[in-house]
Amino acid sequence: MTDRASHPRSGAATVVAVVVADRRSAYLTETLRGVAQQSRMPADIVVVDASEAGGTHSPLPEDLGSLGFSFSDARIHRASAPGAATFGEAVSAGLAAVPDVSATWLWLLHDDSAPDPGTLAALTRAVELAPSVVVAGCKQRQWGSPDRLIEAGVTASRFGRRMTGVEPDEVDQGQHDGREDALAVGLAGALVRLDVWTELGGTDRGFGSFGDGYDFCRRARLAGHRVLVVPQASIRHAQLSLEGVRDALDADGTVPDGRADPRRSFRARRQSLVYGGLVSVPLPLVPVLGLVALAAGVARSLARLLTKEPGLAVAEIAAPLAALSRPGRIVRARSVAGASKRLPRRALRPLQTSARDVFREARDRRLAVAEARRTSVARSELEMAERAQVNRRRRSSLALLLLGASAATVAALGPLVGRVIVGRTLAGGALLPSTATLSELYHAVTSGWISADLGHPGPADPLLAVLLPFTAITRSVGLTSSVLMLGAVPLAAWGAWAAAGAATRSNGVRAWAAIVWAATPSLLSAVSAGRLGAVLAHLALPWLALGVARAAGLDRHDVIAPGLDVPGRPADEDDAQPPTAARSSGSLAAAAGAALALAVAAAGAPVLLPVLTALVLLAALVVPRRRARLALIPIPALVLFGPLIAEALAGRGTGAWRALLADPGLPLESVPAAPWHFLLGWPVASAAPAGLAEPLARVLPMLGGLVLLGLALGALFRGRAVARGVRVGWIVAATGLVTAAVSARIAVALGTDSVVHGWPGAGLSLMTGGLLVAAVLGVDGVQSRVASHSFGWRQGAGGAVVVLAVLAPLAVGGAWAWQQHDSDPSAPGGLAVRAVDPSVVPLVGRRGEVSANRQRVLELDVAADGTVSYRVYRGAGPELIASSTVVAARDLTGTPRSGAQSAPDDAAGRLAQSVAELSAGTSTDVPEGLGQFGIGVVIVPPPVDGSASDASSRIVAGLDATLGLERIAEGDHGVLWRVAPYRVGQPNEVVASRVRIMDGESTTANPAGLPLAAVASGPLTVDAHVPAGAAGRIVVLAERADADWRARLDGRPLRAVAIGWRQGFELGSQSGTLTIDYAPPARGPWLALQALVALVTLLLALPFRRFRGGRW
Amino acid sequence: MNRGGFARLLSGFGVAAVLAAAVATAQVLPPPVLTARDPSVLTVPPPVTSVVCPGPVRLLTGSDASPDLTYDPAFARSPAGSSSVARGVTLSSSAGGVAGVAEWHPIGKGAGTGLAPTGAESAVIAQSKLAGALVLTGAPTGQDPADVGAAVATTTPAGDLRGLAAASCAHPGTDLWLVGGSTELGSSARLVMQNAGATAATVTIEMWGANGSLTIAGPRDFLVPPGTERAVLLEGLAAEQHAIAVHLRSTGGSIAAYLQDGALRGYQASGIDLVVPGSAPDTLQSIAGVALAAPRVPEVPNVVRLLAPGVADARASLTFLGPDGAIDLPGVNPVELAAGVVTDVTLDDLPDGAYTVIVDSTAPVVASAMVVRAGADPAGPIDRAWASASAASAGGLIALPPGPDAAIVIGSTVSRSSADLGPATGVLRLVGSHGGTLRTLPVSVPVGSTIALRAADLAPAGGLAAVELVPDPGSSPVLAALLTSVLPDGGTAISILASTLPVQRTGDVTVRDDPTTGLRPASG
Repeated sequence: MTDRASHPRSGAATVVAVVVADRRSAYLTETLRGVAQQSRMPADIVVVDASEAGGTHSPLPEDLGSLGFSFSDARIHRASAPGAATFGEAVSAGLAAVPDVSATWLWLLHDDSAPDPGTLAALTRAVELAPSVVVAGCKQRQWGSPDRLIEAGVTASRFGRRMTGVEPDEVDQGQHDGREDALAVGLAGALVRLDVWTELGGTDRGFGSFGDGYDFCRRARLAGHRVLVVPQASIRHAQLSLEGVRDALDADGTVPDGRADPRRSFRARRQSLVYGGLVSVPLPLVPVLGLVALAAGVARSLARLLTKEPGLAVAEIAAPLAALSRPGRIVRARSVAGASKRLPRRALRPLQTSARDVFREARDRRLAVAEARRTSVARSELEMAERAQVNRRRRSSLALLLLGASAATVAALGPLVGRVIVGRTLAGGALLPSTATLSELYHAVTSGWISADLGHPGPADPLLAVLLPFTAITRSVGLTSSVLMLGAVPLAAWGAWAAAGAATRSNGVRAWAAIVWAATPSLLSAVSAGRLGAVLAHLALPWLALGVARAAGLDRHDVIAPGLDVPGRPADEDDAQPPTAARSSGSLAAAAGAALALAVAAAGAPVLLPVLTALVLLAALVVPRRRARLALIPIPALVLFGPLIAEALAGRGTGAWRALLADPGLPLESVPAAPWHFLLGWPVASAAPAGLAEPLARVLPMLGGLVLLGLALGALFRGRAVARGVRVGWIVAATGLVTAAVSARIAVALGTDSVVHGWPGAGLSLMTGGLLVAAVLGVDGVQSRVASHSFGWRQGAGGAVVVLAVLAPLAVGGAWAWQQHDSDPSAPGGLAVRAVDPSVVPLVGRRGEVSANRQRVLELDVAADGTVSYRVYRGAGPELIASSTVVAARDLTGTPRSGAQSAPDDAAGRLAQSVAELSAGTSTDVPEGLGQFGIGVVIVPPPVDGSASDASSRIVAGLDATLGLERIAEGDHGVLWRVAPYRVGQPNEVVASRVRIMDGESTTANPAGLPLAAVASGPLTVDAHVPAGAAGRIVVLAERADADWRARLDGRPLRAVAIGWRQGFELGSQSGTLTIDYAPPARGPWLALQALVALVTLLLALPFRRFRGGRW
Repeated sequence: MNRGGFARLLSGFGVAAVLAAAVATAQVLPPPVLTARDPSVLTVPPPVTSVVCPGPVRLLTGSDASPDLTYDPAFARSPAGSSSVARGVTLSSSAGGVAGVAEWHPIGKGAGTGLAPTGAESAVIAQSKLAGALVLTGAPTGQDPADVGAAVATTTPAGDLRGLAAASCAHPGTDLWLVGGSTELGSSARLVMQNAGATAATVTIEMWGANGSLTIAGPRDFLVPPGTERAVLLEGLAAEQHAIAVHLRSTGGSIAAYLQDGALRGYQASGIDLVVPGSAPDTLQSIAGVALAAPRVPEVPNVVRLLAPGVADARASLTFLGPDGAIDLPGVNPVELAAGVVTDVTLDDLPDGAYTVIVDSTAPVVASAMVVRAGADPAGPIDRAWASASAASAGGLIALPPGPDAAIVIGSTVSRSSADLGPATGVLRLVGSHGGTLRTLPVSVPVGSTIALRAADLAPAGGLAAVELVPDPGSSPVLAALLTSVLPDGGTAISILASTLPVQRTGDVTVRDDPTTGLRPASG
């Protein structure tokens, strides 16, 4: 306080005004004019040129006198501070330019803050009256409308959350003129005592452009000074930095229309807020605040995604990171602040605002924004009534459509529907049943190990990842696949209805498109053949099309005339107008939705991934705007396929690349139809419905394709409005057809009887989609065109076309439904899907599987010719989540077109040999012969038909007579044997187990020696205590050897050894906790990336209305 | 037309042409190549072959090991003067090859007498004074399973069991049909189930009589532990049945079984023999070695026993291939068989001679034949022999136990496909009693007839231990051996040996790792 006492007081304050400008602008001229018009002139005026050398902006005028006004007797100084990053540095540079500063006060002005004539007089009066005041700030008003307030003094919460107490656009009626003491004031227009400025070291450059004033005032307060707001002094402030337009001024120095947006400066403001907190809170709280800021950044970032502000989402994370990345600056700032600090922090309390006030202000602001929006979009009653009527009509049309589609499904697949309702699962054809739960599915997707038979390294099918969210609802993979298959027709109709809405607003045309899409032969064949992936792709395609259209703003929507003249709103939508009318700016949520749909479609039919990616990128080139947004649509699908693509490139097995083209599910061969059948939508030869006369039976299934083709051809002759869309549709159709033809010629997997080629249906779905786009665009508006003519041939022909167009797809669907009832499942088009009990293994056999030994079940089935089919299960039977296109592709080598069976690997070969010996009744050591595969149960199903029953009873008798197999059950499931433990009956017997400890005494027959004990394990990992034992012990997994298996004993890594085909580890003699897991190094990063992309895409896709207008 | 319209027309044609080109390209592209999947054909090691021999005949007076029978301990277990002999043979599967190692051992006991590999084509070992059932096991040579055969013969000069009871040792099975025997007063049917395997077998007994399917008194299931045999008196299960047929089904293991059929006429022995399993029900059966000879015994006729065990009645026509060709049996042909009814057809109207009986039925049947030998006095003691039927006839191996005179009976049969009679040709290999092939001779049986070759003629020096008939391709002769011996009382004892077919090479098994295994319709 001695400083203040000894401060030279000389009656009137002498003032040096510092105007910091970084370029010539209209605002600067105004500001200088304001200074020149002051009733009390400052003694010195310093204009600081803070522009960077070599910038593109207009330089400051050399001669300020040329501006057209004079500064009377004030001395004008010019200073240059090209390197100044902040306002404070520029001011300091300006002060240095004044040779002999006799002034005691500093008047700080931005280049966009024009003072009113009496401002300086009011400020000096205030500081002369109150000697303890060192900072006196102005009331700030908006530049463009000076009757509206920006702020009159600033307060803040304890953590630096800034509050003005002024509502946005609040009109100044003198209501804040009573304020005096403030925690802080904006530095624009503020009068600061020069010695305090020097003492405090000016503003903290760490703040950048924002928050520096608050920080300076706060430090002044803590140094024992007063900060005052002087409402009689006012400036107009353009807030160029806040609006983010400082770099975007027009040539004449004004803000271009529509450019001002506070979100541009969001990151800098957020960063300075975090920085301010870090430099001001007590030291122990600094790390806490840092972590809180980071966590809050992540949470706020996610919320920004939800509100579709991806730019701000990045800023929310980048800002705290940037603030935290300069610890040196924070330390320096804290020490500077500490040096001048004379009062405790709690001295600021009375001036700070409470958390409740902060909350209340935020709420008020939100409500105000919402109210403003409501009033801006208020509709007239007339409009609301009409909109309600349009909506009612649309909804009832959709309901009717879905009802019809559901009825058609029940008519065709009725028995299946009933049996699924009572708990059966669909299987057959290419569809595998499943008993897996959500968590089992999750592990299958994320483990990187395909837990089928003897285990395979490799990524899970992307289809499984796509089933995850559906299964989260149904809780069961089997139910998910069943519901998708049975709901395929209604779901396809719904999707097409929605997508057609982007091209036409006619309910009739939309319904027609929905029927055509639901009755597409490629969908119906896929349902019959149990091709879950192809069905999923077909269901996803319309949403992709809709998403792309809406993302680019090309969609149409109902426009209701408001009934009143509302300026700025279009009066009506003319049907002849192009749907690309530049009205919609496109939707980010739709782009994210399209990305999800693309991922689903590609997961269902991987062959579509490159095709759809190419088509979307092509679309990104031809749309008038939002190109970057469209170009990003394939990203989630590509990330989803990332591990698969990596696997295909790395190539375990020469056929690895085929997995990128293979259809997920059971490999099922189909004989592709002739190309002209392709053109009509049929991937396989259309089987004639039984009971129909020959020509009709042949023609009926083709009608739908013919009509669609005809309408799409007609659409080529429609006018300019739809021409581009129609042609895009045709290009898509051609791409789809080529895809179908190519994929049908690529061998992708080894099936039951032959090499399996790709399913052409996915490509044909794409082709049908393209033709449908063209047809719908072409049909749209024809009705009104025809109606405008007087009745004549046009109406007649139109009526005929309508009748034909509606009847044709119905005929296709009807023929299909008819055919599903009594046809041979193996015939093309016959219903191969059945409702089955997914448990092939009865409960008594599953006991060993679900026990800690994780035993496996070997199923043997003998055909009449003596061929023994076998399969090893880890669960209740054939399992959807154990299927893998990667594994199926490993069975193939040879040319892409024909493929050739590759030799089985060691594991598969040994298993086949064991099965052969077992079925021939010549195995000598069954407990160890099957035990090495972890097989604990053998099951022979009942014979399918009489001819196989001899062979079946022979093998049953043989297994009965096999030493080491004990029959435990016989029933509907067949006959079950338990594999006897090794050394059965002796005290140290060892039951069959996935993980076992072997004595390591290698022989030709038993390369790992003989089993000593079974080890408890989970489905994949092991975490068990092992007792001490002899030296040289080996722990052996009944899993294929792979370099990425890891084992540890009490945290100490064990050396991996391959025991033939099996994975083993040298255990040694010690006891301890044994942990084994499968850890491919690339899995973690891929999963993290996939999760991140999925989260971001999902949040972006959620239809969540954003709050505009808020500053933060 | 304005410029925009022209451009639209052009681009419209353009995209339509692109699609047309796509279709054309697809048409031109070669169709996909359909490559069939090769199933894995895997070679498995051949199994150890074994034949299980019946034990000596038993009076029902001893303490049998079986818990099911209680015998009068006052009498000896084996009849006085009874002698049992066995002969086993192991052959190379092909001429010029080396026979595998075979080994005799008592059922259930590991240690036994070995047939050393002599390097010869065959090895022979005989055993006398048998105390119980024997098993002959043969180890495979390379990929070939051992071709082993054996037979036992028990000759009892006097007493209730007077006669010759001989049988070939059989490969164990799970589905055995024993057609023969009687449970009426004065007859005894002692069923012996033998489990030479390593796992316990549960045997389910099903019986038929002259009035249809029989209700078994007591439990129908019998557990036969591994390495044991178990005997059951069928008169205890279904008494007072003049003619029976037995079906044994085994689960858990393969068994061998035979039926000791003995009868008394008043105080005279009315013959003893062992009924061995014949082939499973089939519409075509052939019974070889049905040798009829005078004098006929009116009370105990020579018969063919037939049973249609299914639910359908059958009409069976019998053809008798005699030494002079096929003859018909007037008055009985065809035979109407009610389902489940055991029917005996008397053959006493046939002239003497060795016959092969062909049963051609409209429904699957099982069959056997019983022949009777009397001494000079038809009212005196007689002997009987059962011959079982075979459905698939392909020669086979017969070991001849030392002692009785033997005749090799070869019958031509009908071919399954055309039901036409055809000639039977093949090569007969004769194995001497010290191992090694004595000679091979081609045989040719005229169409529709049966020939009988006396062992003494085939091997004048004696010492014929076994015969093997390898049929020529396309012919299917049936082979049997007729054993006769003259008892001290002057009567003739008789027995008929069936042939044993060599075990097929298991060799190759076709397996397929098939993901659709659990998805067959039956599982739904």
